[in-house]
Amino acid sequence: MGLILACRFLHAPAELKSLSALGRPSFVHGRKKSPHVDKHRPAHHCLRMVTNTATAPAIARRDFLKLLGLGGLAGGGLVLVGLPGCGYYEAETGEAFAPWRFPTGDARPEREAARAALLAASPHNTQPWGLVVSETRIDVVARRDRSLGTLDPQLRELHIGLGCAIENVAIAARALGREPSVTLMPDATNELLVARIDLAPQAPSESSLFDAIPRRHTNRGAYADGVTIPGLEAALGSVNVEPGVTVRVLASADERARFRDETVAATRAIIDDEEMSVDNDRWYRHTKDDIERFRDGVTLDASGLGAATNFFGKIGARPSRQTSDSYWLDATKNRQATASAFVLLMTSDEGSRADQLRLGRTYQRMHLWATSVNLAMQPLNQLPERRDREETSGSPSRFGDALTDLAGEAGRRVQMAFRIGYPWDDASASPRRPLEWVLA
Amino acid sequence: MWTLGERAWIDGHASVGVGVAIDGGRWQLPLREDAMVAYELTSWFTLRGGVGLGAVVDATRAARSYGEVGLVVSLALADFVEIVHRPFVSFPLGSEDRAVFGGTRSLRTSVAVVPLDIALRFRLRWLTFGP
Repeated sequence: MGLILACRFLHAPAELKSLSALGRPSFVHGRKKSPHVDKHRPAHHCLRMVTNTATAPAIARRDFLKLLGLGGLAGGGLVLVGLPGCGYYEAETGEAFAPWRFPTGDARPEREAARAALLAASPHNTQPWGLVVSETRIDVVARRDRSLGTLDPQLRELHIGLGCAIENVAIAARALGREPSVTLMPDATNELLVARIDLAPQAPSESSLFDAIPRRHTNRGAYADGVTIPGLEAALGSVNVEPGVTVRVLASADERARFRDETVAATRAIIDDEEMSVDNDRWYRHTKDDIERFRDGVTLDASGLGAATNFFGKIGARPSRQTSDSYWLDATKNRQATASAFVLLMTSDEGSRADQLRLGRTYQRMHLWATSVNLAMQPLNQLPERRDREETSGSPSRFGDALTDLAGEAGRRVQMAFRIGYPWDDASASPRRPLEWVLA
Repeated sequence: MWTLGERAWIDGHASVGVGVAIDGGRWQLPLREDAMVAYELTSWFTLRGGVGLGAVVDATRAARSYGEVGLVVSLALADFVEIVHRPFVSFPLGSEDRAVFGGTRSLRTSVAVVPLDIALRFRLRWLTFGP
């Protein structure tokens, strides 16, 4: 409408020729002019009015449109960059992503092995580890202040994440010329000291798992759904599963459908539980400033949404918790329900802290192996999270029973679940806290 | 000016666009050229028909780019508003192969028939450039 009104205030070209010579739209070639077309054409009425106006030329039509375009671009640029809480930024840039430049070439193998811990998997990228590093030993300490709260009331996922860090240290140490000797929960009086890793000199050994450490990222995008990975179960079993850990692969269509349906239901239950929803939302990092300040949590780029969706998400304000919850539910139902298989990692029913640490080591090893062969993985822990919530709050065991049924094995407790498959797109790196921030 | 008798002529339409594919959040750059015969049904209505060629470049991942070849049929009112039906066959323009566990993964668009592609086009003469 603005453009239509604008034409009434613009002047005609300085030399007024016949109407037919004023120019036809460039996208119409070879228009045949007939008398009745001229009579009914609205554009000719506009021109006729302007030619009756004997005034000095104002702004030319073309220049006006250019100004309009430039103004629009400038306004759009302000939206992109300037408004508080909004603003586009490039993915994987800044100091928050510097730890992924690994290995650094540090001549001290104990420091380099400690840096490998920074790149381990952890629930919601909480990075719940502290490290005490000396030339011959690395101690891994639990940072319980970085737990997921009501999403992880029994600190199950926190300890699985610590196990992931322990495994990265062990793999890196061997590749860097140190033989690791890992003792889990070495001090019965100090439950925060979860591992002591003694380092002895040895010849460095090449390792595809070590090479995969800086490339391993949780892939939250879509996978090719239902495509069989030949030999998957055997391959996962051969990745040196820790003692006490059992693996159950849900690959049939029926099993995948059941796991998918229960996971979606568990996601809904988490969203409807206000405390769990708040604790979940606390770890979302929307702006570049938040990413650089905290260097943890889940970002837009790591959410598996795609470049264009990320663009619009970044230039907008941080979504409300309720909006984020609805996006998460939608992602779970659609994108994150796609997989070749879902996998359950289990321990005995008692599930000690050491068992959880060993399970974390197993998961990290599996994820590094998957990375080395261009498969994607993503933890899907909504079911165990709701089960833990039911147990600690005394609620009916709706999701606990569902998990037990899926496990199909008496006396075993599902500690975590994940999906695995061929990804449509590569995953983005997540922000990581540097070594200086985690040294205790 | 290529006319075909009293009421018909050769017509063309070229377009360059920027779009977003919601599925996968991908940027797309569609480039299209249509060659048509236009026929003036009445002073108000013009019918066009012809062939269309195009390429949709996926700016996020080149392997997902595809080409189009199809038919174009449109009806324009006062040469201002036009409804266009453009069914086409798409074919891949790129591919990407990657070794994965269990074999090789090949990523490309598949050959597909899109029987329904309808657009509403507004011709704004005030936005034209030229002599």
